[in-house]
Amino acid sequence: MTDNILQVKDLTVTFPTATGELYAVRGISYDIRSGETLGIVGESGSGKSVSAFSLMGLLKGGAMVEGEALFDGQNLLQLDQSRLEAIRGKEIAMIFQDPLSSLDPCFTVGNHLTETLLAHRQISKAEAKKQAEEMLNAVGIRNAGRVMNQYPFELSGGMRQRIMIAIALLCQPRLLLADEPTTALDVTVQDQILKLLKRLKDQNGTSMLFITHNFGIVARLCDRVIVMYGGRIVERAMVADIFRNPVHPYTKALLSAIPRMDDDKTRPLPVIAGQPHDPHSPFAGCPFKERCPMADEKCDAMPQETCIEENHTVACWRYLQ
Amino acid sequence: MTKYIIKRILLIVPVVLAVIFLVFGILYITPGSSLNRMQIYCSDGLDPVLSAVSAEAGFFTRYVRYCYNVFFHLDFGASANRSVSIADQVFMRWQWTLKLAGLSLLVSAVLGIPAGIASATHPGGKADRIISAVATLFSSVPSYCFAVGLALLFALKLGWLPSYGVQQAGGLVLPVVTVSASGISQFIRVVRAAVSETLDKNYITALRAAGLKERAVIGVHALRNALVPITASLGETATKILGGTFVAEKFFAVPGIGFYLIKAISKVEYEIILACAASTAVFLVILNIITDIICLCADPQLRKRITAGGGKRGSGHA
Amino acid sequence: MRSSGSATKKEASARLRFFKNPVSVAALIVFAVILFCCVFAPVVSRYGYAEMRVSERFLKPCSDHIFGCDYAGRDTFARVLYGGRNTLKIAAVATVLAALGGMTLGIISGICGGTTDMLIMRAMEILSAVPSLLLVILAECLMGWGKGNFMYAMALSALPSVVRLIRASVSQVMSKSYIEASRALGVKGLRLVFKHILPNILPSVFVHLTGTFAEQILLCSIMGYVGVGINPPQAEWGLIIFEGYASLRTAPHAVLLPAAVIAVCVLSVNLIGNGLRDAVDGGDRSDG
Repeated sequence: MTDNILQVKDLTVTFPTATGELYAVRGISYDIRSGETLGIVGESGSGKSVSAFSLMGLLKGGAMVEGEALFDGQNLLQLDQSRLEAIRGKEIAMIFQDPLSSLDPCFTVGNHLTETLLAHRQISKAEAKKQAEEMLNAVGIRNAGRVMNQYPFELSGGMRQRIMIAIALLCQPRLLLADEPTTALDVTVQDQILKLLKRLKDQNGTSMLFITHNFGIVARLCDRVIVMYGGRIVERAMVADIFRNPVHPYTKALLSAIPRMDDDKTRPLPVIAGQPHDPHSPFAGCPFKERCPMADEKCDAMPQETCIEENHTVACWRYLQ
Repeated sequence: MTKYIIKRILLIVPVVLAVIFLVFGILYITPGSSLNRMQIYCSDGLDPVLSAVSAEAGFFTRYVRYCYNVFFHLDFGASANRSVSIADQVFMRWQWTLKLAGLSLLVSAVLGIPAGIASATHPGGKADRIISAVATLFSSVPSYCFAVGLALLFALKLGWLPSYGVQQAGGLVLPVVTVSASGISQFIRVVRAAVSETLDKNYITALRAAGLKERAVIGVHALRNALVPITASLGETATKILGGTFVAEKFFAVPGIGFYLIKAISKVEYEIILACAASTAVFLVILNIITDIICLCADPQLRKRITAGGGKRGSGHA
Repeated sequence: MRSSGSATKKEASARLRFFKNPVSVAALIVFAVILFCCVFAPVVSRYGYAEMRVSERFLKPCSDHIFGCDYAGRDTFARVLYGGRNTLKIAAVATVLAALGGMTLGIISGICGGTTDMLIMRAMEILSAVPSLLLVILAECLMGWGKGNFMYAMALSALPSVVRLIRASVSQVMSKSYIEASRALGVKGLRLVFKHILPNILPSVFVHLTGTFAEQILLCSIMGYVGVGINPPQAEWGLIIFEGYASLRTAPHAVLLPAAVIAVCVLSVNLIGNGLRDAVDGGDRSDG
């Protein structure tokens, strides 16, 4: 089973703003294989969330999305509203960064779950309610019956994220997009949520796109990883390879900024000098050029991705033969 | 919840007394006011209880007596020449004012709310630009200027509607249109702001991601949430409409409370000014309490907080 | 913390956005023309606001009297200009009064919090729950009738919204971390307000005050129309409409032309306000 569930080709996302175009994603391509977890790592503004939102057609602000995203042979980016609504939540589901604001405060948890079910399945309300309670149990919520009648603001952040996961997995989607689902949570709750996601994903054989800025989570959860910077993919590899042999200067810098158990305790943590890439800049070269210690005039053009070992490519002139 | 509502309703009594106290006090100390020198009259003539002392009676006695007359005898006293009972006038005139203001509120809401929603759901689109332009225009043209145009066109040029005299058929149409113009712009502004703010919320994106139909996302979730700020501003909107009603009454000679007040001011009849101002203030107090209760029904978060606060008295979890 | 240099840059870009918007610029020009004519009314108009010529009663607009004459044979154009002088002056003074009072109360409320805050906000709630017409009448009853008191009374009706705006901004800014940082550094009290809070909230306050000014023009002329504002024979926009309305059938020009000027004036102020709001907001959006 190595067929691709999702193929993204040359995805570009541009936002019109008062001060000119904002280039959020500058042409990225990747595949997600059936049953695997693909991690996208990058700092804020690197375009990782925007690329996921664009797949679901959820971008606001007059975003211009170009490229192709093939799912089941249909291009997600070209689908009309009703086809998209049929896929969202049923085939592809999403969980969000901020569980505190991602549930409608005027509706009970039960409303959220049953409404999602009824939107996709021809079942009775009573049946929907039963399935919803089962799902709540599955995401580890005890006394699901009571929680069904509670409003989101009565629940803790961890509970809310469990409910978001329950909503996402209700219709057994084949692909789950997780946009930093643990960033807003306490570390202990983070751990529970990650375990839950891993368990449910393995049970259902769901593929997952996991967006994060945390390499630790990538190591725990993902099979493969993509590193993004300034709206471009700079490196992609199997998870083990990226830690063993990071190649792109940005990936290297990022990994060396993580404190390690075996570190010399007196070593100051290195920082990446300079400012993040300006998304307004139409600069077509390597986005990391301004901060890269090894940059030269070749970097004014964007390098092709080069394969340096099996399943490991990098977009950097230094490795382009 | 019921307990809270009952408490809120019972609160009307002290607030109303305080409001009358304030209005009575202001008009009492006004230079040249008749409230402090005149004897207190009820509509049947001299007040039987106070007739002996009324000339020397102080502020507090007069205030208490006034409230007593108003609440127990529905009596606002008589006008300066003692010919008419102010109470009869006040009640008759409030009927017209309420009819005019109520109809205008209805028209404004029916036209303004959908327009505001349409505007918020298509930001920057053609509909949004037209609706926003209409809202700006309606809130910029003074109501009396608007009324001049209406009267000239529909009453004088076309002769379709009377410009004067509300008792005739269609007499209320022009006043209602005049008041509604500013009401509509008010509703558009409030609804547009509320809905577009709601549409920006994360949960709207999350609901879309769950595959709900756009109709359900906007029609059920966005509107349900926008209802909270909209009801919260309902009191303000109604107050503005009432203010507009007063001006329209003067313009179209509607025998309402505003017209009565304005006439009383030009004739300097303090008893009537007091009756109009006090009844308006009382009306607004009641209106605000009603909107408070509606707010409570619209906002589950507020409801939970109140029931929790009332149930666990002094539990110190606040 | 951003330096003041970047604040002026932000201001400059907001100004640029305002002047790029054709509607705002047109509104600004229209209002400037109206304001100029009103301020220099004695120069612009050959007639006085109270000059009566019985022979010219209800005169139709002509080259001598471009707006015609009213029931008393007074030049309507002159009355509109002199009326605008009164209305705009009163509205402007009332707006400034409301701004000063509102800033003071709002800052006190936002900084002190607690009981002071509660009392001020309750008082503002009461003020805003009364229709402005009634509020002005009651305030004038209390303070006595006259032009000065009329302005105070009008300012009172605009006070609550200004106080609320300032208080919200102050308490929002107070909770931001850079204020906490300055507090930790020992900056406190009024210095904090004048150095850090006011510069931050001034643009939004200014936008709000533009709207307040438009409302005050409306209110002032409504009071004049209703007969509790400026007294005849002085000119005032609402009063002009009221005086002309009786002869709407025979001399509609005596009402329609002044009404058009008033409407255009208020509209232009509102459009300037909208343009300012978009300019200021636009800056925030591209920053965030």
